[in-house]
Amino acid sequence: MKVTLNWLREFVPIELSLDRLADRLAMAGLEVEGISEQGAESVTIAQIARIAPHPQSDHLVVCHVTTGGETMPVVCGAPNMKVGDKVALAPEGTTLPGGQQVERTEIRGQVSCGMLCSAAELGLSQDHSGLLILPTEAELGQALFSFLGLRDTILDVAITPNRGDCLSVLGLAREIAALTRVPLHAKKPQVRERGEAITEQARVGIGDPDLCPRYAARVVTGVRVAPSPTWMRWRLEAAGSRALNNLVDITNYVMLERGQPLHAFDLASLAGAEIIVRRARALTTIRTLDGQDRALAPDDLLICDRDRAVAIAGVMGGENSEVREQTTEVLLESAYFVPETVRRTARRLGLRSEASYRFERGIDPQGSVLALNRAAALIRQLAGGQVSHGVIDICPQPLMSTQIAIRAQRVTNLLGVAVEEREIAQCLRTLGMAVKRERRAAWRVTVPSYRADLTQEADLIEEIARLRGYETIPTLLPRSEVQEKNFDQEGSWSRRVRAYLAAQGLAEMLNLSFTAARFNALFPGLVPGGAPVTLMNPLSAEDAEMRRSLLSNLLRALQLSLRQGETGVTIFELGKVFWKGEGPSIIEQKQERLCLAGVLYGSWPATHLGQEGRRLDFAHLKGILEGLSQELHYQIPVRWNRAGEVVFLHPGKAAMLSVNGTILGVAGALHPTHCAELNLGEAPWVFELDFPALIRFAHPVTPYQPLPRFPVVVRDVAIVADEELPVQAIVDAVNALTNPLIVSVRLFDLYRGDPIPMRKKSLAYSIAYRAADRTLTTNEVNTLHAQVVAHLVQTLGVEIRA
Amino acid sequence: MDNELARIRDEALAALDACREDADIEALRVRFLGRKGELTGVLRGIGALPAEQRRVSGETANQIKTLLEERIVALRTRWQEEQRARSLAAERIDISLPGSQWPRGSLHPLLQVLDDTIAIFTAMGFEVARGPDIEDDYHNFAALNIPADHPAREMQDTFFIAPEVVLRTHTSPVQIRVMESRQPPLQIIVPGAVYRCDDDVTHSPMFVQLEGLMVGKDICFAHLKGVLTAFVHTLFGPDTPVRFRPSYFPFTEPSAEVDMGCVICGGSGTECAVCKGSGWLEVLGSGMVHPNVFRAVGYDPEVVSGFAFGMGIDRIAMLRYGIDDIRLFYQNDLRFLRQF
Repeated sequence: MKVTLNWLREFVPIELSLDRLADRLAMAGLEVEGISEQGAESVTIAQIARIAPHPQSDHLVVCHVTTGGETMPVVCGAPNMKVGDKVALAPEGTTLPGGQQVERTEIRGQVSCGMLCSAAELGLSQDHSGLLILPTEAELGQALFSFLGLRDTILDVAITPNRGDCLSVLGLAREIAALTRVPLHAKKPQVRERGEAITEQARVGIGDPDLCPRYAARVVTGVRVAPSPTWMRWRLEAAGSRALNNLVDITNYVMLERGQPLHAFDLASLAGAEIIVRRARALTTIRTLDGQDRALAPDDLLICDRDRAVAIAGVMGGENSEVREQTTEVLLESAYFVPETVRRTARRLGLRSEASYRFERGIDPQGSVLALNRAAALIRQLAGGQVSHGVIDICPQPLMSTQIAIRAQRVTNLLGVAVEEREIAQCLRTLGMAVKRERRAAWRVTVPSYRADLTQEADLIEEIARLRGYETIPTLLPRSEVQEKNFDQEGSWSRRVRAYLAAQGLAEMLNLSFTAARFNALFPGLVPGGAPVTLMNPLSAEDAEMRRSLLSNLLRALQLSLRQGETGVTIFELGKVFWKGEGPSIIEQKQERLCLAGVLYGSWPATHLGQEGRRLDFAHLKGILEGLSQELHYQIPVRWNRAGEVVFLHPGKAAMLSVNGTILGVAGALHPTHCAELNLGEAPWVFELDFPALIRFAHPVTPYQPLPRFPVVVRDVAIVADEELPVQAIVDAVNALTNPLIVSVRLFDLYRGDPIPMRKKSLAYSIAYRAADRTLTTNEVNTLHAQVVAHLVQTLGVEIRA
Repeated sequence: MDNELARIRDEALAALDACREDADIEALRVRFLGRKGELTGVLRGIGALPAEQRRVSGETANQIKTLLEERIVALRTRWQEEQRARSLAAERIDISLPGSQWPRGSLHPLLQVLDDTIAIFTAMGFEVARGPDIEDDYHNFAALNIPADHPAREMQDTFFIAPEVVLRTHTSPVQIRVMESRQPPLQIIVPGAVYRCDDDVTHSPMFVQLEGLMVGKDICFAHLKGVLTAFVHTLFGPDTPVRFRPSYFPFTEPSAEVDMGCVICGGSGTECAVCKGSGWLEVLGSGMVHPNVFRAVGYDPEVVSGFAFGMGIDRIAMLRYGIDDIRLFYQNDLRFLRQF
């Protein structure tokens, strides 16, 4: 809400400095977001001392002007000035109200120190036929806009949605009066009536009083449509409103001043000189003032004449009844429309006006006639014409004022500071409320009609706190009662997992949850089937769906990094993925799951001088994930099974991770077609894990194992196996013996090539043996080892290398 | 005999002086002190001398032997020390050579700030609660005293999944979910992603919020001020000015915006682009839980009271790190992320 200081001063004396005023308003919930000056341009009153012809031009002259001191030459092409005239001089460096920059120039060889201005160039009127000639009493050297009374300060005040009452000069003045404890000058607008009775000229009926509880109208005849006076146009401009003609400007001016939106109909255009307020009932269209055809819904509230719709109630007038240049009779509308209906219609049509903005926030239902009188009086004053006798004021149901009970004890309890009874009553009265004491320390308060936001006790308590200032409330820490609280498992584990991955060299990312449909198709996530969750109103097609997998956005981030010349990218993200499953409604279908995903691409940077960076490979991927299960103190080993069916992974380089049959997620190399789709030169190694499943098997600690008291004996075995045999098969086969003397089996060498036959590989394992209660003898170990080797040969069909 | 001993001593000492390397010393030791050495020979001959002279000469010979042995040890020790000093002087590395470091990862700055924030409130006795990102209209709006067709809905531009299903515009629906399932006293914080259709330097369509709620028998506005002041002081320093300014949120009454002294200009205000010259920065929205919210979850506002607050972690992180474009947090530029 933009308002000027002088306009406010018509309603309230302002003694505070601008800074203090802004601070006081802010500390009462009305933040001043900007302060600017109007009419601060350095246009100065000057007098023409001499006029000389321009040597190079027939239609230009050189005016020698003075502002009280030396004269200076200004080249000028206007026809209407003479020596001795007082004129408006814009010196070099001035920016005129229209935005024009004045510079020192040479016009056809003659120096011009600034510019003499027309009224139009000064934004005072449309007149650019000649220079603005000022009255003789204008003082030389005085700032022009101060002389014209147009110098003002514009405050831009942020109004919260509950304070519709402050969307006017009067409303803000009321607040300032209450905050600074000065009286408000709010004279009731009066208007002189003449001529016919309005009832002879127009009729009004409300068909749907549930949406329009009040409709008031006045008729003014014999008006002359013309531009508004400068002062009014300047005030409208200060408020951010565009001046049009006197009638429309007056309706806007009164709306800005009193908060009541008004509409002026061309009475001659209203069929039957009739107004009916009703729902559209059927699908229909109306062309609004801005020339757009608007499709209406049956529930939209309309202003109609005898035959057709002439305005969308509270939103915008119709073109068919607008005030035109030839208009001489107007019907002024001042109504109260129910906020919800205006909001619904304005929102559906995407049509927001200053009027709808105010109706949506609730205007003063008691202000209708006052605003009407103010507007009618202004029309009489500025557009001529006569105001018909009487007001049409249809108000089917009496307007009830809100009453609220308030208790002193409640004020104290809620604020945490004892407020005296006298102060409570005084605060509320200052804000225009009628306060009646009901019993000790309890009152019944009647809320003024313009404060629709006050409906219950807590609202009044806020008013008291606001008026006293929040700084008067002490700052206390609540007395804490120790309670048993839920431990945040998810948060605790996620911090541990994130810290681990960062320590492994991965950078954590935080992507938006949106992605493009084609990425969801490429990366359908861990849960097969289902459908993506789509947005009804996405910002762009690239963000039209909720991600099903973290990988889509991580890989986009990879692309970004590669474009920036990164050669090694190791990244991860812990975040939610979304999809639609089965269910009767979307809210029951939608699924959300926290996932953990990562991408390894390119090489680690070289860690040692003279060494090459190491290419990231499957071993890095697996090592990081194996380390993760150790970090989480897994007591059960994670199974890595081949997973050829994961669509986004290379079928030969894909693993499904599981624990005891619960799937944790997948890991592997990105599928070549996906790499091609993403323009990736090589395949990144990726993983995506179901986070709740991952932490289901996590333990805060690993139980302590007693330290071994007897030595371990290690025997190696070299095996030649088919290429197809997973190296893990040997480990599994040894573990399958469940011999308590076998401590561990570890692969330490893998070799292919001469003398090993084609499609075979040589594997070397270390097997460690130990007994808990004695030192194993060589014989014992040899016998045991031979049994193990024989078992491997027998069960896996492998050969033993000599 | 004495002359002979004096000669051996003089010759041996002279030879010792002439020693240049360890082999010289060894040769000298063999020549004088070895089994067939000159001094050893003299000592062997002493037994044949008369008793009185035997004692004197024996003593002299032994003194010479001890002297030589000591000198030899001293010389060797000196040489070893010199040798060590030479090699210490020679064995120098260039300590300006780069270290060999395992590639360092990083934690996202926003989530670091979130972790810190959670830790501060957890220390004050708040427990963490979480909820879904996709919410129904009731929990996101209606239960929070934002009915349909209420202008406050405009404060939050909403992403819709279906007409009654939205991406939560704030973490506040989790308040409702917790209050629906539990009885007071309650002291919770809710971290999480929230969504609004907005995209510019200060708005991201997704951002991270932290919400708080404390409900009990006699929780008042003074407590709200106490807890939030303590929070700002813990995160930004105990001297940070804090002020509470009336504001409007549909789900609280009274409502307060919390400002802290500008961390960029130190509150001096002039020409500061961050606080726009005001010296104050908005960091939190807060207020006493609206009675309609309590009614929606079946609490009696005559019996319990409470306060709620919410903050954009993005905003806190921007102030903490001096970041001026919120979108940096979500662009995932490694050059940015690795700084933290």
